[in-house]
Amino acid sequence: MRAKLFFGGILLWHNFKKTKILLHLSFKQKRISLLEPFNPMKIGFWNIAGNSSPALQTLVEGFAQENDLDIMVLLECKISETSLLQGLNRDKKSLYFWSRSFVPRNYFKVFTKLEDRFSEVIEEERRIQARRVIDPAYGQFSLILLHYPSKLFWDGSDQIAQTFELKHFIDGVENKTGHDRTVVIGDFNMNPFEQGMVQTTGLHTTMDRRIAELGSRIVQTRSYKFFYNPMWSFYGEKGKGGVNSSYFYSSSSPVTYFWNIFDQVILRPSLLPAFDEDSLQILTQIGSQNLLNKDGVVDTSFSDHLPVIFEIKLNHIHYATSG
Amino acid sequence: MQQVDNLWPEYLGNIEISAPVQILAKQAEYFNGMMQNVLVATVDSHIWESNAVWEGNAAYGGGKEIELAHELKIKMPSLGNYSLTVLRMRHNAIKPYPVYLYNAITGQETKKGIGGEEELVHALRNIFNSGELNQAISTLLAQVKFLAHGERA
Repeated sequence: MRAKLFFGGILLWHNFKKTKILLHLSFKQKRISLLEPFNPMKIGFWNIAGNSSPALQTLVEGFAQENDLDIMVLLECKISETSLLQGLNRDKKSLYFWSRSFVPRNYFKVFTKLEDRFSEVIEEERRIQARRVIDPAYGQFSLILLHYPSKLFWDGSDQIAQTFELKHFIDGVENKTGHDRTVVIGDFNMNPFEQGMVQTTGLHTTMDRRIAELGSRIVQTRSYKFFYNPMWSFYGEKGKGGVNSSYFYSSSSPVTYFWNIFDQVILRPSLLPAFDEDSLQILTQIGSQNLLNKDGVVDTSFSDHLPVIFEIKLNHIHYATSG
Repeated sequence: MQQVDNLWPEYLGNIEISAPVQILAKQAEYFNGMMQNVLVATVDSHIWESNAVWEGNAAYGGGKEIELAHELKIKMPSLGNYSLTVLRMRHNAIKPYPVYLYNAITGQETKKGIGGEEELVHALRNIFNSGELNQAISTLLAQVKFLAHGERA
């Protein structure tokens, strides 16, 4: 049986700094398996609001392929995984996997080019999921997916109160992995300025990268780590990108913001060197399809949310192989 | 200094109370016996600091309410670090009831506090017997068997 021992593949590749030799030993598989770096790692997510129409499915496939996503997270996805995989892998340029969860009917469907061992679920509930994402060349980080309870069912104080549990979950993941290279993405159902996003016992985010890079701050003798929230940059007519935010809602109540940024990406300072701020986009177009209607607001015939993409370049962190 | 008598009553702490965490820990123990530790249930407790103002302390002008939270998690030793949170309960740090119960598998929370032990047992029984939890545990067990038999392609 020893004869079955097979050296699956040896990949030599050069980058600007060094040469790496990656050796993959395959005992059972007689196929060549290359450990390719995913650098930059392209990540995208989209709350598709339970829409499973063929038109939306085509857009989702375009979303992944056009942006060459390594990890695509769909929230509130009712499209069949099989059908979507067939569409994603039709052109065979890249092979996507469906990375399943053990929680039935959870809020996330993850399609990725990474094999399971490189995108492993390590902790989950129905509304939150933590993954250890490994780039075989450059190390690992934690990707936390979130679908926070909606304002339709919870008022502001409920949302604020519950952010303590979010913090507890994230702290637990960081203790478990031994590092805090953490990025949290998803539908937070709160705007970046809301209390649950900002308070120390919640997510403790800041809009200022330099403040976030301080690492933490002490309040009444306790130290609280920061998250950097780059989503603030999208607000306003002169804000980043071609749209004010990712979610439009007009209500008849006295206070309404119209544009809300519920779909967010927040990062710990230790992951900031790997975060390409210019890569962060709220998409308003996929292929030739405009995701905004003639009035310039989100075309809800697809979803009431817009998709978000960004990139992580782990080679910019020299210690990402630790933890 | 003048002799000071012990002011504490002899009966201190003799009231029989089954704390919610004890009930949960016992259930974890039963589960581990049934699963022969292939899957392992654990109960983790932590302080839950809410900024919400509760009726109980509103009379004192509100402020922070210190609560205890207990989480029942199922871990799969053969899959390293993986853990699935089944439920979370929280209650006032001093008073064991009412308990607020969150089903982490379905994402549902009890609308009003659970007032006592009997009601808590009933609610836990409902969660443990739910189809969603059964499906999750069955999938975990299937994964364990898959790994145990070296069936990875």
